[in-house]
This record gives sequence, structure tokens and C-alpha cells, in this order.
Amino acid sequence: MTHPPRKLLAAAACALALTASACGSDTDSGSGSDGSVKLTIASWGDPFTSATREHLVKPFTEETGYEVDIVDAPGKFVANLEAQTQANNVEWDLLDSTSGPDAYIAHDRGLIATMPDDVKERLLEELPEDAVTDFGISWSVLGYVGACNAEAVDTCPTDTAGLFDTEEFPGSRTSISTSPLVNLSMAEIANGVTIDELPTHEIDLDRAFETLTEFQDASGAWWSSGDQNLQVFESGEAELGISYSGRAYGLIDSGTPVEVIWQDGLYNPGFWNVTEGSDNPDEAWEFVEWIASHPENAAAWAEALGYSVPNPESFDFIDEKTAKTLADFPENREKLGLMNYAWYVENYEEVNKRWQEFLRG
Amino acid sequence: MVAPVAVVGALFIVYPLVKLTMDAFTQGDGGFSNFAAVFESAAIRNSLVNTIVMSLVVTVLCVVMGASISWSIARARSAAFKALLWAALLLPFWMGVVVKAYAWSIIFAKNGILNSVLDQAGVIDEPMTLLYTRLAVVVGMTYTMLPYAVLAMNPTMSRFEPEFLNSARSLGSSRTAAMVRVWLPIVAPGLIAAAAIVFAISIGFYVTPVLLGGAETPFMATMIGDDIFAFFNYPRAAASSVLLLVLALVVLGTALKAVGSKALKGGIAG
Repeated sequence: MTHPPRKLLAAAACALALTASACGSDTDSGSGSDGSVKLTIASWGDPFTSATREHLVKPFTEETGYEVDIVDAPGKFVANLEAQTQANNVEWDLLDSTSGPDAYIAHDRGLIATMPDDVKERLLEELPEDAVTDFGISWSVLGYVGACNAEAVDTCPTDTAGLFDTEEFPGSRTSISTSPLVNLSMAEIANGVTIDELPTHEIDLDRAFETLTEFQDASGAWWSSGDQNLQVFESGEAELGISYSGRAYGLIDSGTPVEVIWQDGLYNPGFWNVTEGSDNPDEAWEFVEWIASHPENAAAWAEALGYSVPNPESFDFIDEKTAKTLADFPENREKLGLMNYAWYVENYEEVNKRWQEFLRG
Repeated sequence: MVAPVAVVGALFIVYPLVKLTMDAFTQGDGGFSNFAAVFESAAIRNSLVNTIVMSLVVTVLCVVMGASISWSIARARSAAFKALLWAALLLPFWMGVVVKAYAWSIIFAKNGILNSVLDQAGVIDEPMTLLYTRLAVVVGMTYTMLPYAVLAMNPTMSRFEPEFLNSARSLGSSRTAAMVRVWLPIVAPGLIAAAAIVFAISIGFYVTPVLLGGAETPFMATMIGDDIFAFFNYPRAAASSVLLLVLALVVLGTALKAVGSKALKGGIAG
């Protein structure tokens, strides 16, 4: 008989059991059992969660005495909120940096709360007008920019149109696989739509997908996460393409000689939202107002993560080298366009269907 | 001991599966409409074919390579060599699936180990595109599933007496004929059990196809993830999941019928 040694088998069985239990669900949390206020924030996991806890939650708790919990649900805000709402058991009060498209969808589906008028009034005293929406404030802003490995290609393009011009600028391309709106908006810019027109431009789907098909023919890889964004450039699968702004500078720091192309990129805000069905909406909005009115804390948060924050005063506290890499730095901001989220919400199903067929069909 | 096990099983296995199946038929427009939606999508059809074909390839590779490894282990004379073979086989088994996929992505990258070795040896002029291809997925999955195949076929393989082959040879059979007509029928239940287990697990793969196959070679699990987390289309995700579940059950059920529960159980219990 030749069986593997018993210990090996036991360890193998243990590995199997661990794999199974690691699929367990997120821990839940309700409001304070003793009647005190307890807020629960859904966030993105480390380093995001740590930065939010350290620079925003801790000082907020010291000032207000509210207990604040953070749970990690990266990329799952809308899906989990939908489940929580259906079960009539909304466990979260606040969402930390919901992506733009998700925030508009979540508001459209009644999953996140509409901002009370008095809150909006006070927020507008602190923040620029386009940072305050009906359902939250923009936060952890990124640019979708061009990144081009200067060592791998002869000439790097200088704007978005060049990124899509595969004849003038040959080289294997990359872009984000999980956001149809980003790709369609970029394609429309390449087709001549200006960044000023973009926020209200209704995307011509046939034309945009035709442009994207040419782009796909030159594609070396699509990325679906920030880490993969780095990896496709570092491993040489992609020579140029669309990148998160923060990751593009990360590539430079780790030794890949990329040029960062801001011209005609996209301004991509995340949002702080309060959930519809939160047990403590007043306190949750209080938290949103607190971070909007504490630019120094916001600056520390931005420096820790390399994501931008909307309060102009924050830039007084951010060192210049970091500031220049952020989407709200005035020189960068003026080169970026806003996407037409309202159009996306209206055409959500058709856009996603066509995107999925385009990418995976 | 039976009662708590039954409760845990009912709570964490039976209930979710029943709920999932009911959701697939009752959510959205209900009936078979969610399944119709699954098949209406060219992207999901493409991923279903991808999933089945690539899982089949992985299954064949695992059974063939697993049989030779299992044979070597059974025939190894030195206990130290035997332990070494088991260790080599089970080490990747203990590594996280993400770690394994990243290891392969380092090997397969354009400027990765494999391309630079082949380039320096003068075999290739231009680096080959290996990462984010079907080949990378098949290699990564085979690497992951090989230990399962060997563990599943080991009981039958180790019970095979090499004397049978000698007897066949001494009675005039050729070496090939002896393998096909004596060895194969005896170990077949183990091979079938291994194939069924490898295939049933393979069709549920998620991480490896995402990390090694990229966006354009999706598995069904990728599409289910899309539906839940990107498109918030839970009914269609439920229907796709039930489809995968049925496929796995049919394969396991057929294997069970073919070889009896002993071979399958033997495989799982080692």
C-alpha cells in the first residue's frame, strides 16, 4: 500500500477546509446596543480603510464621541446594499468612496439617501460646486489618464486622441475592463468630442464601439484592478494605454519609465454617501460635513493614499511633489473632462450588454 | 455526532443551494426566463464553451500526468524518494490559488522568465505572448488540479499488483497490450473518479482564469461575478450558477454510476 504519509494528508485536508471557510461572508454590525450612536462605514480594505480610520474616523470620534466601525466590502457596495435593502436590514450608514457610476446607479435605485437641503447649503460653503451632488460629496478623486512606456515605444502620444491612434503611435494597448463608461467616453474624446462637451454628451454607441474595436485589436491586455493596472505595464504586456493616475505615478516610482498623459483624460470622483435606511442619517451627514470642513485631515488622507480630495484648501497642506500627481491639482484638473453619468444611468442595460458582448463575446 | 453534522449540512449546504435554485426560477420574470437570458447573451455562451472546453483539456492533462505520477509513487522503492514525490505533488496544493497564479504570471510575462530564457537561448527573436491566453489558463489550472487527480486515483493505482503485468507478459502479451488489457481495466475506476472530480472542480474556477486569462477569456464564474458585482443582475447570476451546479452534478452522478461510490469516496478520502 502506498498512501501519502498521514500528516501530509491531514495538512491537505486542513488546506481544503481553510479554503472553504475563507469564503465566509463579511462580518456585520448594527447600531450601538446601549443606545449610543454607532456609525458603520463600508470601505475598500487596506490601505484605504487604514487611511480613513487614521485620518478621518479617529479625530471625528474624538470630537463627537460617536463610535465608528469600518467594514471592508471592496467593489461590493451596490450589490451588498441591494441585498441588505431587500432583507430590510441595512447594516451600513456610510459609503467611503463609491465609484462614480455606482453612486449614480445606487441613487437611481434608491439605495443611497438624497442630501437634505440644509446639509447641502453648508457643504457648498466648504466645497466647489461640482463636488457636491444630490447624494453626496466627491472624494478620493482619480484621473483616468494616458500612460506610455517611453522605453518601449518610439514616440508617446500627448493626448487621448493619440492613445487611440494605433497607426501614428503603434504599440500594445491596455485599458480598464470593468468600466464601460470610461472606455466609451475616452473613445468619444478620440472621435472629437471635447472635454467641455463630455458631461452632457450623449455617447454614439455604434461609433464609440467601432473606435474601441480598433483599440482592442492592438490590445495586449485589459486590467481589472489597480494592481493589474501596474502589472500589465511592468510585465511588458502593455506599452501604452489608459491608467489610473495614481498607478501611473506608482509605475514611475517603481522604475517603469512611463509618461503620464493628462490632456483630455477623465476626472473620476468617488463619493461619500449615506445609505437609505441608515439608522443614524443625521449623524452620518454630520460625518460627511465634518470631513468636508477639515481640509487638513483630508490632506493627510490624500497624501497617505495618493487619491485627490475636493477641498481646495487641502492643497495648502499637501507637499508639492504629491500635489502635482493629484487630479484636483489645478494644472491637471483643467485637462480632465467629467463623464455623463446621467446618460449612463438611463442607458445602463444596453451599455453594459454591449460592453460585455464586446469584451467577452 | 450525526445530529449536529446534519444541522450544519442543512444550514450551510442544503439551504443555500435550495434557495439559489428557487431564486433562479422565481426572481426576475421567473420560470425559465432567467435561463433564457443566460443563453441569449453571446458573451455568456462564449464563456460556457470556454469553461467546458478548457476544463476538459485540464481534465485530460491531469488524468494522464496524474496516472504517471501516481504510478511512479506506487512503484518507488525508496521511502525517501516516495516522500519526495508526495511533497513535490502536495506543495502546490497548500499554496494559495492567487499565489500560484501570480507565480505563473511572472513566468509567462512578456519580459518574464520563460521569454528571457528562450530569447537568450536563441529560440525566439520576439517575446511570445503567453500571459492572458488560454494556454496560460490551462497550465495554471492543471498545476492546481494535478494533486486532486493523484489523490483521487491513488487508492486504485496503489492496489494494482505489478505481478499482473509480468503474468500477462509471460503468457505472451506485448507490453502495450498488457497495459491496455490488464492495467487499464483495473485502474479505470480510479481514472474515471479522478476525471470526474477534476472536471467538476475545474468548471467552477474563478481566480486563475481572471489572473492568467485576462478579460477576454472568461469562465462562467467570471460572468456570474460580472452579473452580481458589476451589473447587479442577480436573477441571471443565479440561473448561471444553477447551470454550473447541474453540470457538475451530472458529471459526478455519471461517474458515480460508472464506477460505484467506492472509487469516488476513496478518491476524496485518500
